[in-house]
Amino acid sequence: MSISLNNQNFYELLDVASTATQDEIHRAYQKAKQTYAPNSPALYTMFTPEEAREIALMLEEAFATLSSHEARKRYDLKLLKLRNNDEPNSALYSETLPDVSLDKDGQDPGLYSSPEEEPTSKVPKEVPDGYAQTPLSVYKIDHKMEENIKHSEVFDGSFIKSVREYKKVELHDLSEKTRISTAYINAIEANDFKALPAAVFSRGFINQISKILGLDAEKASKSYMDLFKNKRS
Amino acid sequence: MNPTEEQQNVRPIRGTGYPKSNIWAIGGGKGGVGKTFVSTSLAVFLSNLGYKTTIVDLDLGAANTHTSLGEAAPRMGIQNLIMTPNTKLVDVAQPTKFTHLNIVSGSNDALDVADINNEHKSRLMSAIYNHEADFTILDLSAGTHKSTLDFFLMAQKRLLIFTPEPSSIENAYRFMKSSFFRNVKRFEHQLHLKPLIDNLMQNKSSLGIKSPADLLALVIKNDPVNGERLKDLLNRYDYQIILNQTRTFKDMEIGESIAGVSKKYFGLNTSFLGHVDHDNAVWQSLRKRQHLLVEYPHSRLYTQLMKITRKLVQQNKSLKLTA
Repeated sequence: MSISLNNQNFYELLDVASTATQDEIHRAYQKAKQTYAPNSPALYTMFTPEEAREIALMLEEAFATLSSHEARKRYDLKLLKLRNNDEPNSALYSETLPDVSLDKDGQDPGLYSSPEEEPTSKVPKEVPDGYAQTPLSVYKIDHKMEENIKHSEVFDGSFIKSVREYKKVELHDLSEKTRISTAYINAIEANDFKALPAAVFSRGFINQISKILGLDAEKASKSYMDLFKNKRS
Repeated sequence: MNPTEEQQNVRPIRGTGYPKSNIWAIGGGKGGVGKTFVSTSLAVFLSNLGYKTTIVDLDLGAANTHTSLGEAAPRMGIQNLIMTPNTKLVDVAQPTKFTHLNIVSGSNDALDVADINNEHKSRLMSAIYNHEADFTILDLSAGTHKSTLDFFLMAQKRLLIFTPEPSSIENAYRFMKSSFFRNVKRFEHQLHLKPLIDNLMQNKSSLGIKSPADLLALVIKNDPVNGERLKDLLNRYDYQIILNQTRTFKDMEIGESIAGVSKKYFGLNTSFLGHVDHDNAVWQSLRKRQHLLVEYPHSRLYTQLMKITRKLVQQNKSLKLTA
């Protein structure tokens, strides 16, 4: 994922003011779609087809949020909270060269990562005996399932789905928490590799989902991406 | 912060002063895209509007600005300036048939003028910088020679000519990339960023630096204060794009796309000024040794070029006439 574009909010990506009207946003989106379409002459020697596709996906996500009144309102509030939050982003003050590899921790601390160190928890810290929790849910422990998860070597879509359902994590909550669209999460769980974006994005998605579901992120993403590469080529 | 550091932060950055005229540079990388045609057109319109305008032919060794204007080869020009110390631009500028427009030509230059050395280049740049006029238009040569880039970076309006052909788009982007890095070079020492930038560029694949925008983002991340200063300096003057020789409606749409892509790629302000259609009238008027604006004042190109000139002039609302 592009370092510079990752730092941009949805308005900046679409090159509109934060006070833009819906009409302006729509026109900007149409223009951007044309610009980043495959074989667009404007891309020649600047972005590879792969990079252009990644940018197009980012623009889709931006438009999907900003074109809906409700989603835009929620997004604007989020931006406002981030701006008002004075907690220093540790990445800004690093003495050494930053590691911006998406693989290391699943996300690049840019403008839009949560300022807190731990993900905000919807659930109480104390759970009854026999129960466990994820950041988004509380679930009853099934020892057989836990053994299954512990010894699993293949992390394909159906496995990820079974873990999610076992741990009572709702699709919508997972989507909102990770900012991965439900369409992509569904595609991941259905092993619909062709519907997924480029490897660098998809790997990041698996990383994020694994963390929420309490899976070994490195193991899961390696396993899933092996399947991804084989099936997509 | 100790006193020395404080002093360094307050010292003005070299290369950020203001020249004595509004300098517009027209570049584009590829030969034949219409740099001279557009620069002479802008110069003619500005002079028609009453502004004192000088056009400088910086296509050293391939001077043809005077031909585009329908002027005879001037007997004095760049050569005289660079060979004689303390010569001003006004001393070698020749009048043209257009009131308020004079030209500094290279038509009578020695045949090796293209191999200009640094001292001569400095002299020329200094003369341009100190030239008193409302507008100084720099008609640049093709290619990305360092002196061409330096002339381009002197300007307050940095205009880039693209045509819809991939080869022209490729060369114009190349020109922008070269000018970006040349511009970074101007400031990296003064901002104490050179070691960081060198380090980042040496490790660019492992760091995922795929564009100048990525480089800038990482510079800012590692040195927020000087990084932001660098970004401000690079953003001081926008890149402005003119799409020339458009033939179809689809061609015209490319202009906005090019500006959009440039903005994302460089992380710098880039805007699309307008398009100029392909028209046989251009070569026809050239063969008649008259500028198109004189020969075909009712052509569509007249309106398109006038619109672009107006847009540029209106960007500086506080322009004053010298007369």
